[in-house]
Amino acid sequence: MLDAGSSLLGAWVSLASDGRVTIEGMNAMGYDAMGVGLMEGLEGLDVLLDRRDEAGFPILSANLTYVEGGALVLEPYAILERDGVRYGFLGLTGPEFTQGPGLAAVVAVGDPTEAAARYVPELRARVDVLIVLSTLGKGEDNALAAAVPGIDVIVGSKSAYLMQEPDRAGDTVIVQQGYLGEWLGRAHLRYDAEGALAEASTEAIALTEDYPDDPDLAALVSRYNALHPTPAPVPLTPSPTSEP
Amino acid sequence: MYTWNSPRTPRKVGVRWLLLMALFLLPILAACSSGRRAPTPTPTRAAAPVPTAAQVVGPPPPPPPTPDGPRPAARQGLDLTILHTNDVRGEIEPCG
Repeated sequence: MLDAGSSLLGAWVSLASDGRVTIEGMNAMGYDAMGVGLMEGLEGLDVLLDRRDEAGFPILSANLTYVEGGALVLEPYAILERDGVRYGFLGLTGPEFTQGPGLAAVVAVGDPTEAAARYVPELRARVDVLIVLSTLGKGEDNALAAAVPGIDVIVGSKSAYLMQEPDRAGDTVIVQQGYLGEWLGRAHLRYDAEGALAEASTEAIALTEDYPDDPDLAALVSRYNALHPTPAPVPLTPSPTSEP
Repeated sequence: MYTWNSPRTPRKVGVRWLLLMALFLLPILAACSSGRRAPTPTPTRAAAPVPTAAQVVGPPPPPPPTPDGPRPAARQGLDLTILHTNDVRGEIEPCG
């Protein structure tokens, strides 16, 4: 279960709780890894790092560095072994990340293609399936796949796509599905007897009322909504007319 | 040669007796010559019981850790399903 990024903050209760409700919910749902995009930096770097420490999964970016010193802000990649298969997750962040408060003075967004060229060979040698979590946008994902060999899947974001079938760039499968938590993407890949990609498909599952709420998650959301009730709308003051 | 069984009735001392005395005296003499105390006999312990067949059979040892490196076999015939989200923007409201 993966998130490409730009998911931590946005809705009122997520902002009011500094993203705690999002991370608690993702922990409960069993996310395995997450990328970083604009919405992760919406309340500044300290909030992102605090939520990173509370997450039960890695939050990754291979091209976010500190302006001072140049060190990576987050782990660039993570490796997960499940059912005898080793999965590598590499995070790549889009340039708009530093729009968040105070970020441009502290953090720099490096060239994602250069970061991928740097880390993909290193990660490729250690995993069976290599998945990039990208907040670059679909066009940039396609370009990345063409430029950097060795990537099996790019889980993307930012483009508000509902894809009927995945994009392919060589053996790289590129997917993203929807936004605002209204869709769940399900990508299916099948490898043949030689380990080569034989088939890839994707679907966007609309999260409608047809799916009953998990009672624990519903209780979590209710608890946070009670802690941070949505403020009443401020009535607009009508502007004076231009009529004399 | 005389014994101390009876100060008044010396007896002849046989070879067997001499050998027996030698067994006791030799360690003492060796310790004295090396400057160490004669070793005191150490208590012996009962031998550890030999494990039975049932005790020997147990869970197999864990396999050695696989080294990093390409493992083409891991992908052979692999069916992979990835669930994914993006741009959720904190919208964690229930579906219903």
